[in-house]
Amino acid sequence: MLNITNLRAKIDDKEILKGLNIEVKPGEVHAIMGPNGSGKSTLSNVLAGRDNYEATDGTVMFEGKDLLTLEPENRAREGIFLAFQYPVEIPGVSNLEFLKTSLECLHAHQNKPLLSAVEFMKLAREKCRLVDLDTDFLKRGVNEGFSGGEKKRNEIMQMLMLEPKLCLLDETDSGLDIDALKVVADGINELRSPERSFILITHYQRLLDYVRPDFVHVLADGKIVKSGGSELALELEEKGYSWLDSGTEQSDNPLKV
Amino acid sequence: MNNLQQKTTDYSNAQLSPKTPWLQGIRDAASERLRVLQLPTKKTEDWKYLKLEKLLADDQLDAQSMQVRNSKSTDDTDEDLSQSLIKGLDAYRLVFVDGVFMSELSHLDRNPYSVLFSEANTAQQQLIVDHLDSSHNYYHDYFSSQNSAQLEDGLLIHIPKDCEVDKPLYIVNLTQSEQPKTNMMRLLIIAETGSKATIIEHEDAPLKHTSMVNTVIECFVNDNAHITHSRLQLDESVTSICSHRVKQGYHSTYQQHQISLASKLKRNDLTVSLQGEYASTDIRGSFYGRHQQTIDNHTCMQHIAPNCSSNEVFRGLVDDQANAVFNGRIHIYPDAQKTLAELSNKNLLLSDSATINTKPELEIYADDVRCSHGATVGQIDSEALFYLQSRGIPRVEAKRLLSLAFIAEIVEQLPQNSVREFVAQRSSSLLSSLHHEGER
Repeated sequence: MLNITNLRAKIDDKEILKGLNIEVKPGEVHAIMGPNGSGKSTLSNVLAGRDNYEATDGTVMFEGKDLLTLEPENRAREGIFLAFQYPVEIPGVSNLEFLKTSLECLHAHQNKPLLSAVEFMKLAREKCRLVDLDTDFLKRGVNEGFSGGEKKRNEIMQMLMLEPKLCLLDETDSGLDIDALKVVADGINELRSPERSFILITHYQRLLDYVRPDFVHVLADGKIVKSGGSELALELEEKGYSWLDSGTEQSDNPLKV
Repeated sequence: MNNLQQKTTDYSNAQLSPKTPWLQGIRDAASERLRVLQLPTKKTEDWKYLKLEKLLADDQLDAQSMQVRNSKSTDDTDEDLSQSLIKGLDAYRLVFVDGVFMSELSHLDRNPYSVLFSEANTAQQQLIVDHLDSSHNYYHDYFSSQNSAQLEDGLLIHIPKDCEVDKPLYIVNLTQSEQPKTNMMRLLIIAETGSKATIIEHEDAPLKHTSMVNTVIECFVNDNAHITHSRLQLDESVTSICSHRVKQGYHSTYQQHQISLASKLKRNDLTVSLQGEYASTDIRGSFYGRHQQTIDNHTCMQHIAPNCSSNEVFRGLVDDQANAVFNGRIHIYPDAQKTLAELSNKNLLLSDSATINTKPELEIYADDVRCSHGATVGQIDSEALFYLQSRGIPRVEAKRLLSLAFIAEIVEQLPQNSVREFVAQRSSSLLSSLHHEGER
């Protein structure tokens, strides 16, 4: 589904990703962990197509398409969803209007029939309930005045609405209390299916207690330095990242997992 | 001397056969002022950001005052016109087309509040003469003097003492003549003590014919009176110069919501004089300019009496090569202690070649006042843009949503549902023509 080969990327002339390889197959859940500044968020932003994140080398293929040549909106239409680390507040655009426009754009691209206003509202209310958000929030501005936890739940709510093929979650678990963390995890598990894949970027083992990953990768200094199964996360939790510094397990070949 | 001045002079010298001989004194006084007044130039401080002579140079427009028309128009015209009106608005409607009053499209039944100058009775004539051009502050103003010099007719809205008008007065000014010309519009609003009314002005040009309108609005809000005034300037093809003066008495409120589309030239001068204690003014405005359009809003809050408050919020969207000006002055007179005055103007530039000149001005001669002002000029937030794009919304559509969001605060405060919906719909379809695909 997603094939990243030797990806190098820079922001403002500073190289952050230094030859990253990863392959995600349909239905898989990958966790990417790593110390601060290792390039985790850069990876998610490069994949989603944010301005100023420039891929200088390597390829990113998504279902056979060269992702790096697509505009952000077209990546979304192909089925990529990024849950933001810091969701943006947009006063004046209501959540309802935003979700409706977004869904219409995606459905039009995917040749799905457009929902009626009633069907849309029913769907939106249902997804709100799943992430424990009051339906009143639909009328409010996008993320306007939301608490940190509400913003993260709103990201999951959007993910549930849009039903992407590949979900990138950029530290969605950070700053959440245990109840909100469960809500987020439930949202992810709700969507897990043999066709849908996830990349969870996280600092902590915590989220992985609720969403069991198929693979765990350690990102350090712009490269994957270690990969393993879900037990690797536990090991990291126990030992931290420092023990990996001496390790040279990164190969220059695309990592097949 | 350019065409405009030539025309003015000719007109004032011509023998009118006025329907309103009792206004001759006002016309003569204004003609006298015009003899010494010059068209403002770039050296005139209040006009310095406009290339006025250039903007007016190719307007070979015949001036024409307001007229009454009682003849039946064709049903087709009526059909076209009603398309442009706000749907579902229960109001006393007063329709002008190219400066001509259309009685058959207007609701005159059970509307004792409005009368044309030409149809005013003796008492009303006296009221008009007493109020019209009664502020000497404006004697230096070229365009309003021009309006007065050619004053043949106008609309009086008179709300009697302690009267609360049951529905809004909806004044529609449509431009649809294929012959370019200058229309003089004159509106006099007198709200007597303790009265309350809502006025909605709607200027539109459904057929996009070019024209020029010179408007003078005078509004007297007497003690304890409350006026809510919405001004929708949706006529993109019309060159418009509007002088709007408000005088407020003790404990009165004046609330204005202004939604303006720019045109070749659109200039609004709004001056509010808070003359009675505890008067309060609330002005909310938004403007949008595109192509090579120009829009200029000059406002002045004159705090003359103590304990008054004024609050002014303007939001501007400027696209393409459009040029916008905002000048907001707060003038606090020596006696106006305990004044509370706030002014905010925020602008969004939607293209690299759009221009905005914004200038808040404070002139304070009292020492116990609370005053704040602020002006910002910015661009669309790239984070918000990316957020919307990352959800599959095309860049152009995302820009449209964010532009609408920027003025939403103003649009959402329009008092009537039907007006709000009408404006939201118009702005939405207007902004959907944003075209910035090539800029990445």
